Amino acid sequence: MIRKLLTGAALAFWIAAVPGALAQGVAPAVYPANYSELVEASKKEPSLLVYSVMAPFNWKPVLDGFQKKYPWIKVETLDLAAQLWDRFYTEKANNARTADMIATLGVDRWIEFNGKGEVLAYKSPEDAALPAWAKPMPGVYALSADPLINVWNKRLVPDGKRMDTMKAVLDFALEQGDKAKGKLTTFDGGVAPLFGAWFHGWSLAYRGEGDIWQITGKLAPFSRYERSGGAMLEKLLSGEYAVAYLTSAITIYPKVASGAAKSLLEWSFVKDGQPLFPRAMAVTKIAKAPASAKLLLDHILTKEGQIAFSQGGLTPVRMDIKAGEIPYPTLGEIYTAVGEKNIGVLEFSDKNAAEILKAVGRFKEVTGR
Amino acid sequence: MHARRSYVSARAVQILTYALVGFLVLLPIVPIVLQSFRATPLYDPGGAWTLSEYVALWHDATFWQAVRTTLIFGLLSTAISLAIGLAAAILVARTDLPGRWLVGFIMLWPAFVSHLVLALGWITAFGPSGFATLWLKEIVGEIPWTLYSLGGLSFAAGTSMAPLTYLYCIGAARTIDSTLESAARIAGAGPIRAMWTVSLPMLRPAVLASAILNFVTSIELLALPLLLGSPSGMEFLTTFVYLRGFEASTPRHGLVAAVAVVLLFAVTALVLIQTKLLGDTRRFVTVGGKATRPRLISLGIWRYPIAIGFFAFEALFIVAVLFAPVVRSFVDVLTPFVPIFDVLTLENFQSIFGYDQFIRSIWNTVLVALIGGFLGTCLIAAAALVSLRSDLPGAAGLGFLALYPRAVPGVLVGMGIVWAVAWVPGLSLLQNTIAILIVAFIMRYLPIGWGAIQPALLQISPDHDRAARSAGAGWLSVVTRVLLPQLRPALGACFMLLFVHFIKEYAAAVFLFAPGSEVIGTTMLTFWFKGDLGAVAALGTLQIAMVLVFMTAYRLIAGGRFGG
Repeated sequence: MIRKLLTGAALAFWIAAVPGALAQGVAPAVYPANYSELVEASKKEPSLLVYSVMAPFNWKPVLDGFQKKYPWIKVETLDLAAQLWDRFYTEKANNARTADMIATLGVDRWIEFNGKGEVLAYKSPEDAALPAWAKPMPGVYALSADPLINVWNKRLVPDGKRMDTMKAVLDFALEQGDKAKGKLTTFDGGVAPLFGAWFHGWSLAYRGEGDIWQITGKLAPFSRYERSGGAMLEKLLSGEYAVAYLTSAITIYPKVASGAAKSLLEWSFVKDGQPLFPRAMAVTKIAKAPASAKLLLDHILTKEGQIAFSQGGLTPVRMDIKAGEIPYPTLGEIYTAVGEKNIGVLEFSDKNAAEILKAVGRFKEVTGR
Repeated sequence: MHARRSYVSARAVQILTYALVGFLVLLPIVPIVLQSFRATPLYDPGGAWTLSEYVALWHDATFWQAVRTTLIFGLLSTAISLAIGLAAAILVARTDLPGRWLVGFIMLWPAFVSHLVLALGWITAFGPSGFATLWLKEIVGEIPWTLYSLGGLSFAAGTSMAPLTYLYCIGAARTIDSTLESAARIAGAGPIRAMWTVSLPMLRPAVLASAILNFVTSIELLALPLLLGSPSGMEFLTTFVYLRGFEASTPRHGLVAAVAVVLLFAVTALVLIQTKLLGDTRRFVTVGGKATRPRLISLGIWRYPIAIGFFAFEALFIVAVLFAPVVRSFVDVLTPFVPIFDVLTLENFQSIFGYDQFIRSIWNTVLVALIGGFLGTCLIAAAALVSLRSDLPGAAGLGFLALYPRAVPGVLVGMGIVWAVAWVPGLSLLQNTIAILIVAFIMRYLPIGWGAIQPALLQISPDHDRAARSAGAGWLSVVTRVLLPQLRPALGACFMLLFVHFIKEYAAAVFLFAPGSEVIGTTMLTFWFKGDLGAVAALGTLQIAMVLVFMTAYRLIAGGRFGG
């Protein structure tokens, strides 16, 4: 796995090293010769509409860079969360205006989307720079691989104890006994595949003693389950929770980077099993602005685009991004922190989609919810 | 000749009103009813007509569990909202309680902010580590409640719905003929007894209207049950429906739609019960031909104790709960571990005002709330007048039609309208503009406005209509010259309610907003899902500010008042 990543990284480094590649409106040197046709085609297209689960503040740095390259393309983004797919399908069925490009999480719905033939098969010139799991289906590319992390309130977790493994979290709970009841939190894996995926992803990564369902069951008496990362964070800060395990890094990174939250909270990767969740994007087959969408997809996969998305807490999929180039840890840093063998990437596969559904049931079983 | 022409145009106006309300309500409901008979989402071609979703509901143990929890929650929270709202309305309108205008004003506050923000306020104030909890713990020792329980949730929801009860009842309470109360006093009744046996029964139309709406609203609540109930593992009808319908691997839109259809029947039953309980509506006529000077009931020595008690209640459960998100909007983190002055910041507002989309969403919301509130009030007033004061055949049916939207989950309203837009020629012109949001929002809150106007209209004696008629006025003249001027407080309340609900709405917008037609509700969801609750609180603070500015302007310009 790591070797594959490194080959990709070397190649990507070579691409990035080509000088003068990003002058306005000019195809980068390593891009195919006919890339300029794509650029020309984009000039005749209507504005580009993207449905995603990223907020305007996540998109801004990305689109600023894109605008410099292709000033004539107007990009509009909608942040849609849970109703993204249903809105797309409903609009498509009614011939209403809908997304040219989609960028979101979710193994099952992506496989369904691809299965329905909704993805425009497109090979990005950046393809070679990406690890295999980042290009699961023709035209579908991962734009980030986001880790789950453990976060704790330093005032409530005594003497420098670090919650850097799930074993440490469990030990903490058992040691504190009744005092820890209701003081731990994580996502509610029993409610929907979105959160069931959290736990299946964890099972792919976990290398410690026993299995994740034993740990989940043992933690159940101490845990309350939330559906919102923001609510977890607020309650960690107020002291209602002492530890949030396996929570979403994107919510935490930007908040604990500075200020009072930094002095109160500590976080860590999960060293005995670190799940990573690719978030994917694709151009839709019925896109009204396919050329513009392809250009944006390519831009997001460039080193520049990846760095831009990382500003809001997303973890880039490219291994050629070095520590210090982005405000939060790179993929390489995560690999170093936990060791390659402890990494589990939740890939977009039929098998995983089925396992996620099982995980939802299993979660309910062991937690008694 | 003249009289004949005015009759025809009055009839035309009545039919047009009926048609418009019918169109608006059926627009999203028809696709929803169709969807309930399909196992796959409407967008999937080749689906077959089936009853399978109803059968699936019937056999689903989780569904019945959710129904049970939801019914208990609905009854509890409705009872709480009634007790609080009604007590406030009577005290403010009928007694000499000191500071009663302030009691009434604060009573309205929970209506001003989104339930997401309200839930945040309850957690921050009364959660296990809430500041009010910690404070009370220091004084009393033990805390006898848990917010994350069915009781705690019902109490939070009940106070959040009390403003509706209060607004519906205050108008009715003001117009009670005080000679009736005086008669009771002369017959030897004390002030409390006079209130209990005379004032209270006179409020029955308003009480019933608010009880029914609050009950149905509580069934349809999402944010509060999700945030206060779910962490303890409680499942409600809405949380169940959203999970199965939209967040599952295979979305079950049919299941959600089937629940909506079941709720439509429940609303029909409730309206029938309401009609039966009201009986002869002439009993509630309090605005007669003769003017009397309203006299207030004196509370005597109870004046100050009652006032102090009520203010204490409001300070704890309204002011403190809303204070929390407002403070949260001005700090980096809200925590007992760090002094608040160390974490003051404007960043939460900067993260909103730094982006065009977000600023635009605020302006769009103002437009939607003002234009939508005005159009909605006109439509609802017209509908109520046609339903209660015209001889149009089948006019009573409007009363049912106007309440049906309450049965439909907001997300389904949006989805239904996407379908309707494709089916009804010309509607596509509205797509991707705030106009389509206005249509959806008016539809969704028709019942809320209806409840403000219908009881008030019942209180105006038909003698007025007859007097004007015998003086030669046509229906339209009666309506515009006699009834509408007397309805002014109710129209104001209706507008106010629509305005605050439009400012808060997000569920119906999820399927309908587009680049350029964002609203505060959709912006709030963005920050919510990104976990930035500081910005969510800042948006809540902006909502409060908008409502206060609007109320002040209304008071200065129109001389109107709400409750206070």
